[in-house]
Formats: sequence, C-alpha cells, structure tokens
Amino acid sequence: MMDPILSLDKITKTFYDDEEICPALAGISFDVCANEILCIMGPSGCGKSTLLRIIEGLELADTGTIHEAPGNKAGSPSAAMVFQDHALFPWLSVYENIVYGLRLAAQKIPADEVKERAEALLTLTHLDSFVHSFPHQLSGGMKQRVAVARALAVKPHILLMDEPFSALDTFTRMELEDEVLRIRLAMKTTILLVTHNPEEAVYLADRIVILSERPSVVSEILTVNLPHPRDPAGPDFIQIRELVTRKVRGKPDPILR
Amino acid sequence: MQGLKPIYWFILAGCFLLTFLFLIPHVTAPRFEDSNERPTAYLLYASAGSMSQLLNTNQIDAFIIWEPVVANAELAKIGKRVAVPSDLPPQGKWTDAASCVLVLRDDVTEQNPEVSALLSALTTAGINRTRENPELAKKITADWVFGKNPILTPKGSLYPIAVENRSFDNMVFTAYAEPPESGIVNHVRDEKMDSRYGPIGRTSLKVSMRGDQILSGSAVPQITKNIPTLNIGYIPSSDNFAPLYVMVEDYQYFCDRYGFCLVPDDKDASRPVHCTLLVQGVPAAHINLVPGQSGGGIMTTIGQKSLEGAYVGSVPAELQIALGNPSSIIQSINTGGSGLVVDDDDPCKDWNSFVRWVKNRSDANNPVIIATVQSSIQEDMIRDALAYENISVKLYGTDFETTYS
Amino acid sequence: MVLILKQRIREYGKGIAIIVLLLVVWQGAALIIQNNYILPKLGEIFTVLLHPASPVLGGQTLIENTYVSLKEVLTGFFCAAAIAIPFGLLIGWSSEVRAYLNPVIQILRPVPPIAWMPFAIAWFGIGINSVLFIIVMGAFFPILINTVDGVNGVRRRWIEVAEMLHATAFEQVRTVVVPGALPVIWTGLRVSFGVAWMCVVAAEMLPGTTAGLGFLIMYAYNLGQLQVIGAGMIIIGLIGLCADTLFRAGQVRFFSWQGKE
Repeated sequence: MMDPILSLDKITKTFYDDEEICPALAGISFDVCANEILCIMGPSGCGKSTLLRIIEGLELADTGTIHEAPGNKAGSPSAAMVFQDHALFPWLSVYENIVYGLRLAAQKIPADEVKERAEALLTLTHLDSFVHSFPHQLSGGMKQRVAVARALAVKPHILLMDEPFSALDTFTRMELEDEVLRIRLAMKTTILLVTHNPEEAVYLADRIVILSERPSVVSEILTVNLPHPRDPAGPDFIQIRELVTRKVRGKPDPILR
Repeated sequence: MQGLKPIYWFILAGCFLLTFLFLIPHVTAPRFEDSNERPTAYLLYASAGSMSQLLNTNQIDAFIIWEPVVANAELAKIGKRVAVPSDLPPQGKWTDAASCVLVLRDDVTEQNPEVSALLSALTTAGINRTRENPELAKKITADWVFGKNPILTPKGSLYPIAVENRSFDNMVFTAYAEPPESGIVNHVRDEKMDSRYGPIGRTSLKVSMRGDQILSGSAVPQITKNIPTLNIGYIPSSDNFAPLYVMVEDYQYFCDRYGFCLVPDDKDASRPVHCTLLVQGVPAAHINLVPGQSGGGIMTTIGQKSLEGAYVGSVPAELQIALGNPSSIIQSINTGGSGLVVDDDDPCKDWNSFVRWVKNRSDANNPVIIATVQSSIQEDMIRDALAYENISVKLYGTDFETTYS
Repeated sequence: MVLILKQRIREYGKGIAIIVLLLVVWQGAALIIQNNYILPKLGEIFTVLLHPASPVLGGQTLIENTYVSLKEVLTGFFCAAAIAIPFGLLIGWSSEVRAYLNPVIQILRPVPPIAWMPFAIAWFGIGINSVLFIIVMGAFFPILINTVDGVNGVRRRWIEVAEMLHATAFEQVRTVVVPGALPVIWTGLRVSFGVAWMCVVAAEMLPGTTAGLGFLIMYAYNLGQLQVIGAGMIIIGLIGLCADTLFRAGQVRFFSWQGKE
C-alpha cells in the first residue's frame, strides 16, 4: 500500500482490576491506508474496543507506538469516534450536536463555515428535515446518523466506529451500512470499524483485521477484493464471510476450492 | 450555549425577583408618620436568656427584663441598672402594678372551687413567708433558678446567692396588687369586637376571697373524694415566682402552720414537678409544676387545656384574657421585679438621663436599640414610658412605627 | 384543545377534591372540639386571610409580613445556590477535592438549621444577616448534594465525546458536565427552596426579627390566636405550592429530554 495514514507497532495494554491482572492486547501491529475501510474483528473480550480507544486517545497503550502521517488537513484532529450508543447530547438539537465539535476552542472555525459544514453533513446523512429535533425524538438509526455527522463535522483523518450498528435492527443496520459506503466515497474518509458481525465486515471492508483471543495479537489480515456494490447473497461473498467467521472462532481452514 | 439556558433563566429570575423585592417602596411607607420632629428608639424582641449576651456584644444598647436577669447582668459587670418600674413614667403607674399573677382557667375553678381556693391560699401564704424570711426565700430561689453551681459570666463566675440578694431588693411580694392598665392590650383589643377586658373580666375575686378565708382560718377547706390533677405552668428563669418556690421547698412550714401544704413527690429534685396538695395529711389534689418559656405560650397552653393554670406575667395573662382566653386572674404575686439595663459606659444613671441619651442618639441618626420580651409587662412599661416622653418607638429592622398610647 | 383543557381540569380536580375534603374534616373537627386554642374554625382563618391589608394583632399586615419573609427566603436561597452550585461542581468533578471535603459535608449535613441559631446571633449579629444565615444553612445542602450527584451522574460517554473532539477540561465542564447535571441540580434547587421556606419559621424566632410570617406565627401563638397561625400556614403553603409549580414548569420546559436518552 501507499504510505499508510496510521501505523500501529506492537501495541500492548494490560488492565489491573483490583487484584486481577488482565492482559488485553499483547502486541498489535498493522497499518491503515488512506481512504480504506478497515474492519477489526475478533472474539468477545479480546480488546477491540480498547484498541480503538487507544487509537482515539481515550486510553494510553502500555507499550508500542502509533505513528500518524501528518496528512494534508492541517489542524484537523486525527480521529473522531462514533460509539455504539450514539452518545448524543440530549439537551442539544440535531444541529447543535453536529456543530458541537466545531464550536470548541480547539477548532477555531468561523461561524459561516460552521453553518456550511453543518448543512452539508445534514444533507449527506439525510437529516435535513430533523435539523431542530432533539435526540429523544429520533429513532435509533437517525441518532446514529447524527453521531456520524457529529464525528465528520470536524473533518478527522480517520473515522473510528465502535460497533456502531449492533444496537440497531437489521434493516436500519443495512441502511446505515450503505450510508457508510456513501460517506466514504463522498468525503474520502478513512474508516476504522469494529464489528461483531461477519456479514457487515465483508459488506463494508477493504481489509479485515482479525484479532486472536485474549491476550490478543493480530491473527490474520484478510483482504476483501469484491467490487462495490456487494451482494450478501452472492457465493463469493458467502465464502469470504464463512472464512472470516471461522477465523474469528479460531477453527482451522477447510480445504479451499 | 443551549444546555445552559436553564441556568441563565434561573439567574435572571433571581435578579429580577430580588431587585423587585428590594426596590419596592417600603410597603409601610403610607403609614409612616414623618417623625422628623420626634426622636426615635428601636424596640427589639429577644428571649430572656439572650439579652445579656446581646448587650455584651454591643448589638443592643439596653434591655428591660425581669429579675434575676437584671441582677445577673449587673453583678457580671455587663451593664448597670438605670431604672426600675417605679421610676418609669407616667409617674406611679407601675409602682403598685402586679408584675406576675396566678391564673386559673374558669372551668377549673368551677369544677374545683376548694382546690382552687387552697392554691390561692397557699400562694398568699407563700408570699407572706417570703416577706417574713427573705434569707430563706433567697436561698430557695437561688437553688431553684440557678442550681447549686456558680454562674459563669464573661469575666468570671458569680454565686447565685449574691445575685438573689441584689434581685430581691427589686421585688415586692404581695397578693393584692392590681394588674396594670396595659397599652398593648388596649391596642390589640381594638382588633377584636368582643372582649372581656375590664376590671371585672380580668380578675375573679371569688377564688381569692375563699382562699383568704381558708388562710385566716375562718373557713375549713372541704375536700372531695375526687382528687383532680392540675397542671400549673410557670417560668423557671424568673425570680418573680419566689413564693411558689418557697411554697414547694419549705412545705413542712406550711403543713405545720396551716394544716395544708404542697408537697413535692420527689423531695430531692432541684425543680420538683409532681406535687401533692395535702389537707391535714389527706391528698386533695395532684399538682404538676410545668416549666415554660414564655408567658404567652403558657397562656395558649392553658387555652388548649394542657395546663389548668399558671404563674405568669400579668400582661400576657391580660392580653390573652382580653382576646378570649377563658381564664381569670386570681391574685397577684408581686410588683416590681424588672429593670432597665444599659452598658456600663453609657452616659446615663437614671431615667431622665436615659431619656436624654436616647434623644441625643436619635439626633445623631443612631437610635438606641432596646430589647425586651414580646408582649411582656416590660414591653408595656417601656412603650408607655417612651410614649410619655414623646419618643417614637419603631420595631428594629422595619420602619414600622407602633404607638400604643 | 378543549380535550386538553378538560384533562387538565380533571387532574387538578382530583387534587382540589382532596383539599376540600380536608377542609370539611377540619371544620367538622373544629365544631366538635369547640376550642379555638386547639382547632380554630375555618371561618376565623378565612376572615384573617380575606383582610390581607389590615393590621394583624396590632402589628403589620399579612402582605407586609409575607413580603418580609419572601425577601429573606429568596435572598438566602439564591445566596445558597450561588455558593453550593460551584462547590458542588468542583466536588463532583474532582475526586481530590471530594476526598478532602466529603467528611466535613457529611457531618454538617444532618445538623438542623435551628441548631445554628445561637451561632447565627453570635457571628452575624441581630438583624437580617443572622436570619439569612439560618436560611442559607438550610438551603445549602440539598443543592450541594444534588449538584454532586448530578455531576457524578453525567454519563462518562458524553465526556469522552467531548474529549474526543478535543474539548479542554473547562469546556468539558461548561458544555457537558453542567448541562448534563442540570436536571438533578434543578431538582436540588426545588427541594432546597422548600427547605428554605420551611426554615422561615425557625429563622424568624431569632432575636431581632420583628416581622415576617414566622414571626407572626410565634406572636399569634403567644396571644393564643391560632386562627392567625392557620392563616399564616396557608399562606406559607400556597407560596410553597407556587414555587414548586414554577420549578416543575421549568423541568418540563428545559428537561423534557431527561430519562429518554
């Protein structure tokens, strides 16, 4: 790949929970390329969320380094995150939530540009008619859209998504997966997505990083070469999906045809 | 920012409300006489126990209160006494006015005429005993009011008996004083149309006359089989009730001399509560002595039928009776027993210099603050006296002028 | 529209029906007991209430006394809020500060405002300052405790979002912690006003007060005029009700999002 936008080198993290020592990450290394969608999968509790939080900066790794390419969007934060529980501010309207990051001192964005960005994102995420609604008036899917828009408003190098659609019903999830693809095209964002769902991973990802059981290392990195739009019912898709499932569960490879 | 809107509203509401309240032209303004011509003094209500401290910390300039608070303050060098009731104008009004009285509710005297009369007789006997043996009375009162230990003062400690020596000089014990014509009562009475205020409504002579008969031996008390329990209130911080204390503590004397007496059930208690009225050794009634804090509260409790009577200040008694309390004053206990106290450094030594001082302070825009117990005879006295001297009396902290003349 | 009105009337109607029932019981009991010192008759209480501009018991009018009490309580309440909210934010936000201050707060909290009265006079002198002190002591702790709770209840996630978007600590407090804690703080304010209003009677027993509803009640007790006490209590209750209604309206207006996130 070309110069990676993000490089992880031997990231480790251990949790100390009262008297228990809980090693989560035991040396994670991989690269993230510009403009790609990279999915991270692995068995429960292997530290996928922790890894994402370390990349985001919400937690510190014990050892290892993260190297970021400076990128041409000087001043933008390196990563913005979308959480599973959307975490919108309930006292702010949709518009206010989206522009929240832009109003912070770190951003220094002039007022008219704030409005511009907000409007663009509202259109992109199909939230135009809900500009002044409040989160408690929205459905789960719409709330997650707002969360995405909020994250994108600050024009991050990487968009991190921590199981963003697990809490939603199947059809909303499918809608939002398409949204992610559309956003990636429109805004040329790099997306790092943690998911439990093999179908989702194969549907979205350019590459899939599979982590082992705790203490986890990168067990494998699969490349998904299917062109978009991908058909979840197609035989190639199903084969890759099965492969991914087996890898995550740690089962040996079947004989490939 | 959006989320902080409630805080902004809250602060706004606060500022608005407070400004509104503080800027309202004072609501009492219409009734405020322009008293540029008249000097002013402030009146402040406080409890008996707090007055010395307030004077000592210069938060008030003077107080008028009952003994022994006055004597205590003098001996503790907190202040000096500049006037007693007989000094206060109108001349002679207070000299012979009853300070404290015995009150009984009307239905109690109706249902228990003999017991009531006995109580009255015993009270008069107690008064007589106090007069004839003041040293004994002082000792008993010192123990009852202050207890056995020395009194702590800001500058050291005092012996209770020393306080009593000073205090008794200021009291005359008598059963035959009339309750005073009270300005407060007249003023408040105007609010109510029906009132029993008047010499006949205030006192009931029937009981005291029968009591006198029993005392002098011209009548023999008839006791019934039914032994009532009477709860009688009093204020234990006051020396004015010395006859009561003597009556209870020196019971043997009364038993021997008169054949009837009030015997405490617990003879060792420092302030006995449960007592028995004995006539020739036979119980005639149970009497419980219930301590209280204020004359008014005690009178209300009588109205509520939780007390049957009380030894209480004359003005609170008159006040409530005028407002409908179904009780009557049986007899007086004493006259005098109050004092006006100012700080040691103040430039006055008697009533006239006190008045001059009040006028000077008022001219200097620093009116004197006088503390007293609300609705007490002391409040009546000072209001009357200041009104007589043409000094307007306002309630401290307000512009509200009260003239009870 | 008419439907909403009818619904409102029905809701209030239930409350009013109970009040009317209580009044009937009161009057009935008063007629049986026939002792104005124990239970004044309703007519007498209403007579007092219906003449708010005439002097009560030779003193000031009901309106004047109410005004004085309101002034005292509102001043004390807002002072308490001004001190307790910032303190509460600090204690809730910083576990260091909390470690220092929590024990002393837990010790002072249960002390009833009345117990502070001797100190009030000693430290603040007679007059409105000592009364304010009592009211502030009463109003302070509900606000403080609720602010701390409110801050602790702010979802960690929201703060992470703010962190993630590079908000400074101060911005985090201003834009996330305070708005997030506000519903609980608001409840604290509502409770605290109620407590402050209750403290009025206690506070006005201090030497140096010569007006106010609490003072009026004590004075009326000394004169055995319980119907004035009844009138005073009704006024106190009505004002408390007004305040509570205002707070609840605020809750609906500002915090309709609470509980639904």
